[in-house]
Amino acid sequence: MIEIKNVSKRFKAVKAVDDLSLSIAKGEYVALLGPNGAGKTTLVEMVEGLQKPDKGEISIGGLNWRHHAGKIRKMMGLSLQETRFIDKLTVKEIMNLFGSFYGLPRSRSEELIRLVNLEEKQNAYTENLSGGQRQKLALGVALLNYPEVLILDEPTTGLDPNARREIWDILKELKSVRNTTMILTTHYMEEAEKLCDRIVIIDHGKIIAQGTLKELLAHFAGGEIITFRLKDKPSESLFRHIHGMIEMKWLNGEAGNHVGMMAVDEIAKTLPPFLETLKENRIELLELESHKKTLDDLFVSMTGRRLHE
Amino acid sequence: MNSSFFHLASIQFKEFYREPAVLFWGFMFPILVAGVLGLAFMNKPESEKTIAVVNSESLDAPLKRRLDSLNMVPGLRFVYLDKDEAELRQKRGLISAMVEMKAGGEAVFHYDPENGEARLAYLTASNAILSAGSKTQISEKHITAKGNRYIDFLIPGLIAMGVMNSCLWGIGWNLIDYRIKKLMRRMIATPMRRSVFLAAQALSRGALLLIEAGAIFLFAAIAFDVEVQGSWLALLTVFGAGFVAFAGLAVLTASRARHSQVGNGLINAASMPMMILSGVFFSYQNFPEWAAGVIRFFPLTLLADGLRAVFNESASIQHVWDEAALLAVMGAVFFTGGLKIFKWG
Repeated sequence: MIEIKNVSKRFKAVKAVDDLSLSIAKGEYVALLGPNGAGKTTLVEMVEGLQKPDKGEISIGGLNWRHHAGKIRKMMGLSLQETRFIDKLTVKEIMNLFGSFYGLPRSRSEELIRLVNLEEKQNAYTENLSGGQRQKLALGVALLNYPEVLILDEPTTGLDPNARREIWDILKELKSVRNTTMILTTHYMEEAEKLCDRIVIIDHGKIIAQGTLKELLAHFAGGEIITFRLKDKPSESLFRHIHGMIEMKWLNGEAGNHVGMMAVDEIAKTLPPFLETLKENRIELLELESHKKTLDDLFVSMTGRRLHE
Repeated sequence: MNSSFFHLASIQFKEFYREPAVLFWGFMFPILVAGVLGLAFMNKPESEKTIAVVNSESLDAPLKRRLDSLNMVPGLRFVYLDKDEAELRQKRGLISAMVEMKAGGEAVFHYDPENGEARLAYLTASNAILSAGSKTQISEKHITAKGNRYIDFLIPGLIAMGVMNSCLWGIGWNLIDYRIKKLMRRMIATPMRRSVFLAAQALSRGALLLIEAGAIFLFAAIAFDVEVQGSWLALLTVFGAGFVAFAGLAVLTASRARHSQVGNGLINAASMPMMILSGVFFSYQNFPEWAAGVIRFFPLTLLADGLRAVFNESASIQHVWDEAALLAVMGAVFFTGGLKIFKWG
């Protein structure tokens, strides 16, 4: 349904998207996951026709922006990162306004207001909506035209867990009922895990890994993670021979803090010798945390950065 | 009517009546300005009081000598004009009083007794005539005719300024605001036609403008008895051309700004110089001649002068055709240029 071929986009000195290719099947939900500045928004805005790629081709349902802009706009629904609507217009009026751009009747607006659960707020000015209600309005606007392709740029950023779950439910429903194709950008792993068939991890404008959550986690040998913060940085070789350790990375911590992450087979087996080593070398341990592996760990292991940075 | 157009155009009206502050600044503020200035400056300040002498051939020799000698003294100046020219200048606030010399040695002073400057000019000049040893008799004829008072000068200027501000802020600022909010970007991602979007912005503002200007005029008509002496067709033509000029300027001003401070600055940069220089409140003729020659072609000056000609000088469409055409051409140039560099995304 969506074909992105060798697409690049540069802003002055920064390569926002770097020779990126991605193919998305009809009815597939794909999450673009990556930290701020990874190039997610630039990539989706090129798919939305709001920016032109410097190089490469993008086609949507076999159509391209150069020749079929009108047709693509009709079949696509989207929400931008933080759109603000007109303050003094009500929810219903915004829906009717956007509905008019697609030549849709008012009854369609009412349907969408029900779908995104804004009936109680339909006569409220948009300036009086909460963050979650605004995002739901943006989603409602995105869904007005029965889009075959839906592109949502951080639809739940800044929302509380309840509001987030509500939006997820709407999107899941849409997938099962209408077989919509969707690209969603997020830096919430949970959102990518719960909602999408495929997760594409982007950093510095390139895809650094993709697959189902299971596949991605399987790439990373070992199942558990120990993170720790030390007062002094020990020599590189110190932890090399600790029992059960698979991989070790240093993360960027603040000055005077040295944060390390260790992938291990089993925390129970590796933690005692690790603590013993610190004690023998008189290295002060400031913090210690261990947990089962997540996408965030995967991301850190690939880029040395956390998703939320 | 296209329903997108209807929805887009209705936004301006809704924002207008749903926001009490907009009502205040759009309607009440200009009216307050008109009221306050109308009362405060019943006279028009002028450093030098000029008095026109009409039918100067009827001056007797002692009086002529006296007037010529007074011309050497700063503060009072006598100019010799024919009657039509003198009346026109009086309407434009360029002379304070007119002395009409009648055969048989009578000097009739035409002036507005409500206007302190004019009264002072009359007293000084009549005193000079009496002390000249001339046999001339003095009589007064008070002018209270519409079209000669400061308020008659002010109201067309305020309407012109309203057109400028309403366009620059109502269209220009609105476009910048849509861009800042990313709303413009969101809209152009739909099949909405850009021409419909711009037309809706402009035409809804045009309709609001008529209401705003109508309110100022109505107030001035009721409170100060201001009236339109020329043709209404001429008035609407000049008004419409002014709207075209400033709507174009608004699109040009708003073509690229994506930060509120930049937008604010650009709009102020476009409007402030004209607000100060274009003679909304006081005649720009007091500037040096070369400067007045430039200021004359500012869009706000063209509009204010055109409106004043219709209000106070009984102008018909032929008289204001040049101003209207120039304004319309400026608007077209601004709009085309603005659209060329316009950032939608």
